[in-house]
Amino acid sequence: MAGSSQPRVYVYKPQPPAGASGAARPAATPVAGLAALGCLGLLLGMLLVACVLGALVLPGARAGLPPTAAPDASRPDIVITVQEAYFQHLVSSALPPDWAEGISLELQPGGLVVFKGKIKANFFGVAVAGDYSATSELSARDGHLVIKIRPVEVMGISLAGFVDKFTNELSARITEMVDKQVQDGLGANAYIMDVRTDDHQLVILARLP
Amino acid sequence: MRNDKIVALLIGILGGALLCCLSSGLLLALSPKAAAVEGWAPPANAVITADVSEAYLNRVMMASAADYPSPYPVRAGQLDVLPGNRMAFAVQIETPIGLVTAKGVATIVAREGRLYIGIEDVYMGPLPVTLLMRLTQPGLDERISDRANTQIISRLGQANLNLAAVTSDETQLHFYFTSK
Repeated sequence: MAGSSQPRVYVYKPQPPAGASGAARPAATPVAGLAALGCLGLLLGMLLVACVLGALVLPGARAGLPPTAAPDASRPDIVITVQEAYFQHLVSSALPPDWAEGISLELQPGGLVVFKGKIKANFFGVAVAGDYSATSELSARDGHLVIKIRPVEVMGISLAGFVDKFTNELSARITEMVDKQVQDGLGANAYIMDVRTDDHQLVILARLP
Repeated sequence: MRNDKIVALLIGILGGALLCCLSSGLLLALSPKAAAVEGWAPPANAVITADVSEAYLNRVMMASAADYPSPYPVRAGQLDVLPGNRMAFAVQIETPIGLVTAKGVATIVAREGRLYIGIEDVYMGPLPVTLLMRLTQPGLDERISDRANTQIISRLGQANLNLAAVTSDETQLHFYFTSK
C-alpha cells in the first residue's frame, strides 16, 4: 500500500503565445476591414443626403418655364433714334464734295427732311451756283425705306422739271446712304416698319429676322 | 466584433452625410449674389440710341444657346428685361436626369466701349448653383460677353460710333452710341 502512494508531480506547461503554435485562433476584426466599412458608410451617407437633396430640389428644378405673352408682330424689335446732328454728318459725308457746300439739314415732323446749302451744278452747260433747298419725305414701304425728294429750289425759285437729273441723283445718293446705314446696323433682312421724325431726331422702327 | 463593424459603418454614414451637408452648405454660403448695377445713366451726347425689345432678345438668346457647345444643351429659355440693367432668365437644360430648369439674373453694363454680361443668382429649384456653374463652366460670362460684343461690332460696321452706355426698363434694353 505504501508503494502505491507516490507523490503527484505537477509540471507547469506554459501556453504558447498566440499563433506561435500555428493553431487557428479566433480572428480579431482587422483595422483595414473596419476602414473599408467606414468608407462604404461614408459613400452611403453621401448618397443618402444627395438623394434627400435631390428629392427636395428636383420637383422645383423640373418645373417648366413660366408662361410668357405671345409675341406681338405689330411691335418693333428695335427702334433706332438718330439725332439730327449725326444724320447731317452722315448725309454730308455721303454727298460728293463738289455738289454742294455748307449743306445742312433740318428734320421736321411728318417724315420730312429739309436740305439747304450752296449748289454748284451744271445744267445744260450753264453753271448754276446759289442757295438751294430740297425737301425729302421719308417713309417705309414693303419693309424698305423710301426717300422721295420734292422739287429743288435754287435761290428761292422752284426748278421742278428743270433739274430732274440733280434731284434724282440727290435722291439716289441719300437713299443709298440711308440703306447702307440701315443694312449695316440692322442686317440685310431687317423689315422697316415705320420711319418718323420730329424737330430733332429721326426714328426708325424695324423688325429683325 | 460584429458591433465593431456596425459602429464603423454608422460612423461612415454619419461622416458622409455630414460631409455632404457641409459641402452643400458651403456651396450655398459661397454662392455669389448679384451685385447692384448703379450709375448707368444715358449719356447726354449720344448720337444714336437703339431700343431693343425683349421679344428680340429672347430670339437672340435661344439662337446663341443653340450654337453654344455644352454637354448640357439648352432646350428652351426666356428672358425678362428688368429695370436697373438686369434680365431675369429661365432656361431648360437637358441633363442625364432629364430636363431641369435653371433660373437666374444676368446683369449688363457697357464699359470703355464694350459690353459686359454677368450671370448671377442661378438657382436650380430652390438650390443656388451659381458657384457650381462657375466651377463647371469657367469663363461663361466672358464668352457670352464676347459674343454680344462681336455682334455689336459687326452691326456698327464702318460707322464711327462707340458704345457709351446701356440702360433697361421693364421691356427693353437701351443702347447709347456716341461719335468717336
